[in-house]
Amino acid sequence: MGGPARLVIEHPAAHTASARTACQAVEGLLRDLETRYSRYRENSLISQINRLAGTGTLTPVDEETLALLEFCGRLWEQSHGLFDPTAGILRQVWDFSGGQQGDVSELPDLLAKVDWSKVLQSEQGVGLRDVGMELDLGGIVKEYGADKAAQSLRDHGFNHALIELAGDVVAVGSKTSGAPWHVGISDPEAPSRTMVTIELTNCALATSGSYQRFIEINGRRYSHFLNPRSGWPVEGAASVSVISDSCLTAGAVATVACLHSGTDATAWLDRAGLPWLSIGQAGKCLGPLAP
Amino acid sequence: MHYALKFCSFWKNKTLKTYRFFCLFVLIGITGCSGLEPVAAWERGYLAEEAMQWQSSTREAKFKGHVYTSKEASSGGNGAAGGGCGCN
Amino acid sequence: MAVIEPGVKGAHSVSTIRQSPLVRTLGAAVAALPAYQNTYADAPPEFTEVGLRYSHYSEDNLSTDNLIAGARGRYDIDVTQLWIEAPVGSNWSVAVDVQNDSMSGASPWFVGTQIDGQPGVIMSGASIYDNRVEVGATTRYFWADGNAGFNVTHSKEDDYEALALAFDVAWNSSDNSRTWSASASTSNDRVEPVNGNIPVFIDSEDIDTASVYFGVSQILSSTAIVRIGLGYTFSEGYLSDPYKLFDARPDEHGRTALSGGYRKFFPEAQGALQIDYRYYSDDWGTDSHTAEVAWHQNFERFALTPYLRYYSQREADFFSVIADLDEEFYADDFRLSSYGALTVGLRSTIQIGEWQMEGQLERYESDNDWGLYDGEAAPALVNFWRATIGISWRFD
Repeated sequence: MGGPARLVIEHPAAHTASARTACQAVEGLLRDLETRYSRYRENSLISQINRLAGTGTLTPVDEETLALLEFCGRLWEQSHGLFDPTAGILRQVWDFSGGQQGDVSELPDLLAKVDWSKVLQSEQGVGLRDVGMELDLGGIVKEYGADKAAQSLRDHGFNHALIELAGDVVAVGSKTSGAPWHVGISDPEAPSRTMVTIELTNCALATSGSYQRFIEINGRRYSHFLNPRSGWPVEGAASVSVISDSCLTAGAVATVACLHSGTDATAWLDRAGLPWLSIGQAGKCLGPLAP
Repeated sequence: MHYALKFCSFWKNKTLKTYRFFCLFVLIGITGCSGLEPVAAWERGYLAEEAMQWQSSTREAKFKGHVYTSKEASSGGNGAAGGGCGCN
Repeated sequence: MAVIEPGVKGAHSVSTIRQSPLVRTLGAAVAALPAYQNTYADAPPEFTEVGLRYSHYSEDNLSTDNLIAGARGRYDIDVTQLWIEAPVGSNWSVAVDVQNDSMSGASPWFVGTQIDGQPGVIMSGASIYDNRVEVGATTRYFWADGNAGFNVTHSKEDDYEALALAFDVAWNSSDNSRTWSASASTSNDRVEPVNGNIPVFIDSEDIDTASVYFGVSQILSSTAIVRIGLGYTFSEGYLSDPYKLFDARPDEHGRTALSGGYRKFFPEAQGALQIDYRYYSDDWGTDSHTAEVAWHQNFERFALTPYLRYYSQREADFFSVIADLDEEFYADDFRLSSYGALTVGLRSTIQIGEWQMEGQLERYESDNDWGLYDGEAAPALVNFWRATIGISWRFD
């Protein structure tokens, strides 16, 4: 999943064994998501689909994958194409470990292969129309995993828990005392420092951000989010946090906010109507959650 | 069959006309409740609280019903009537 | 409501905010994902539960103003409830309930006229003692959309025996936001009054009862639910009270009850408001209103629920304070008179590991003046205390 996972369950001492079982179940489902959707694994479902791009062959997928892709399509529409799971190939041009840009002349070829409308989805399966196209669900799988973990804990009878997957948080109920869970949003410049503390009860907090992953072009810092139309990095916020019922929705809204630059991001976040916080490249905080 | 006839005659009874309409009104109101904001599965944590149950405990509800049915003239209000007793 | 305070930013149960069209559209796609469905499908309890409750019920002595003859002391009842409820396989559960009532005391025999012209009660002679045992078994079947239960209950005391069968079913709508329920029951009772210090005039009589109920409950929001129900019960047989000197009731009794309830949880307060209402009407002329309000307050280790109940009933057609023997039907039983009653009580529960303990105390008082309906004041109206303690254990 690309980061540390932390699970906190408050339960009566008598249920320790059940809690351990529940943790194992969560670990299992997270591994399963990774096996299916990781583009780093050769045999993942995503890699299989990507290998068959342009061949006209559809890869049969399960209902859950179809539903996830349906969600991606909905988000693509609502973001006017800014969120595009086929834009992963643009990464080849940029080196985001604080380095320089790659060969920008390759962009036009790559951009031709970035088009969500060329993703084929049906009951028979999923396919990519053109050779060289790649599907990347990295933008939503972690958040979806957090929600799945929350459901798993509830199914096991635990109603007071906190799930943290590398910055995406789901609060299952409150603490057993009735007090809310406290979660801190870090300063992108200094991740050990907490910018603002959020109280969560039965909802999720997702943070999309670019700390530690950025690129400098002509002395200006850009995030690792790439605009799927121009192929260039977005001059956007360093980090955006959103609260919603589901981590998936919160993460989707936060990710798309990071794909906007300047005031467009604020307009998008206002349109979503969810509590949000954006931290600019210079450390400036905006939004209802700003301190 | 006998009880079915009794139920039908109750339903036709004039004095109960007013709240026959009330029942229909409420039933329509409830079925028309599709205009409500849907509450997703993961939002239902509070509804599972002990405080939100219809009965504090099955045995307390049974005991309470028993006391009031034997000391007052009314009965019912939660499910079909249970077994009898020679309560005095 | 998202609570935004300076300093610490809070957000509680964001769902109560009106969703933007954007979030609603995304939400529809989210809801289609398997991870967000069927979280609350019906299933048998995960644990076995064994419990014991003890209650003491004690009626106030009749005031001397209202007493003509007999003992002042009225009923004292000790009730013990024992139960076990366990899942069986993945779709069934079984429950067995045993209840024992130990009754002692006297009850009104008839109402006469005192020297000053006021009505007064002649109580039954010396204190009676009776014991009632009730045993019931319920099997319940669960499936994805609901559950159904079948119950058999048998009760026996010196002068009364009853056998009842009941069936109930609950069905959840596809998104689990609405639950429909229905139940039907039938009971066959036999009364064989004991000829003791009160003369009785019947040997053995039967009473048959049948009852149906329909109800629906609806989730209004993440913190509120509402329900409504309608029930009809019909009894026929010997319905008079054999221990009252002047008591002749019709041999048929049809009764209807319309009930409703509301529950609202307040996350910041960690408490819930509970409101219940019932309207009752029968073909003996009695109408009644019952309204109950309670506040369930969660604390770290325990919960407290203070509650209030108001009740008001109209006298039956054939009721009169002093029985009118010229009529076809007559009764002077205070339970058929017009009056209002108030119950004030406190319930507490505490959970320690797998054990739960409960304690409850309430006071009931009734008075003709407190009722909403006109009618003569019966001198034998009852007031009582009730206390309950209980303990239950849940295990795998």
